[in-house]
Amino acid sequence: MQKLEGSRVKASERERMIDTLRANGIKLSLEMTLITIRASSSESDPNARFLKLMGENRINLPFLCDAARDAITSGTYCMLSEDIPRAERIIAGDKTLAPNLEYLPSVGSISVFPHNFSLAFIGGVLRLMGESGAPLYGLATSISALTMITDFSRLGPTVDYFARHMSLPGNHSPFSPELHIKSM
Amino acid sequence: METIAVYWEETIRTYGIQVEKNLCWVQADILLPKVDAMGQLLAELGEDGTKPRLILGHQFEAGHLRISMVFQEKFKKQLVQFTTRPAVEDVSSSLVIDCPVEMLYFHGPHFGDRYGIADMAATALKNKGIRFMAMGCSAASVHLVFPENVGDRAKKALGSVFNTP
Repeated sequence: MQKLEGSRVKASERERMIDTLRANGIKLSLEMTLITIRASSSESDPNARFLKLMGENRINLPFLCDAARDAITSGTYCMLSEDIPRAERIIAGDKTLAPNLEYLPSVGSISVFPHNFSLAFIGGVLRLMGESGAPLYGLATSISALTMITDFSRLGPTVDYFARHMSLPGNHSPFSPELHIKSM
Repeated sequence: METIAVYWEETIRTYGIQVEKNLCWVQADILLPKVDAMGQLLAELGEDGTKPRLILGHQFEAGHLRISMVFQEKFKKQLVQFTTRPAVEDVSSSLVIDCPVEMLYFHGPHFGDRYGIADMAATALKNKGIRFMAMGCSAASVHLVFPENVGDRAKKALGSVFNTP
């Protein structure tokens, strides 16, 4: 098959791609805040300290991506926005951690499933994400879903764009959690 | 109506801890406006059957996305060819392939809604002096990437704090 360069895609090829991008569903998250921590990889890694504090204080992190390269560890975490005031108080009490954190409020996740470990599918969804104009702050595959983090206000428009360019079940409607689990 | 329930386990249960070896770790840095182009290029790479075992991504600095991918080493030739494609070099400011690496992953009940799972894993590894290259948690899955010959030790460390069938 002739290879395509970048996003220059012929109409006939795009039709074929829509057929390739078959998903069973899309799930949206509640409103979250994205926290980024960057630090040199060392024994006093603030990413580990952050995980410890959140765990000890029963704050869930529904999304986490932590990767090291060139002796720099960079962590991206999401927590429900309602947990932020409590998290900020906890973090403020840790003088080594607080200066390393950046907050991005009002983000949300879009999870498309199943990815079936298909790079054609995952790459295709990333292409749609870029085309939709929604900023991509993080992504991760789980055993079945591809989860992407973007602005909370962009969840609806992005799903609409996906629905026009993917093959979804006829009765599909993206679902948001109706059951809210709160750690106590 | 509010229903209060408590999910408590003396030892956190998993559905099993798996280790995969002989893997390749690919990291590509791209500008956010080029996500669509990189997505298209990855889709093309996938058309010959190249399959990832894990994909993670985060903004390592404002406006820049670092996509980290794990593949079986049998795809190394395709990955090397991919990284030398002019179109890939156009959209990526930095591309690194590291082989071999190992990956450990586990899943558990309602992990996405529960606190402390990642910390328990990270602490257990730290207590044994084991460092990971990457960790990704989404939905009910936890993935960890290690240098070669570390996966089995990591599995043993995690097996001491998580319940495995």
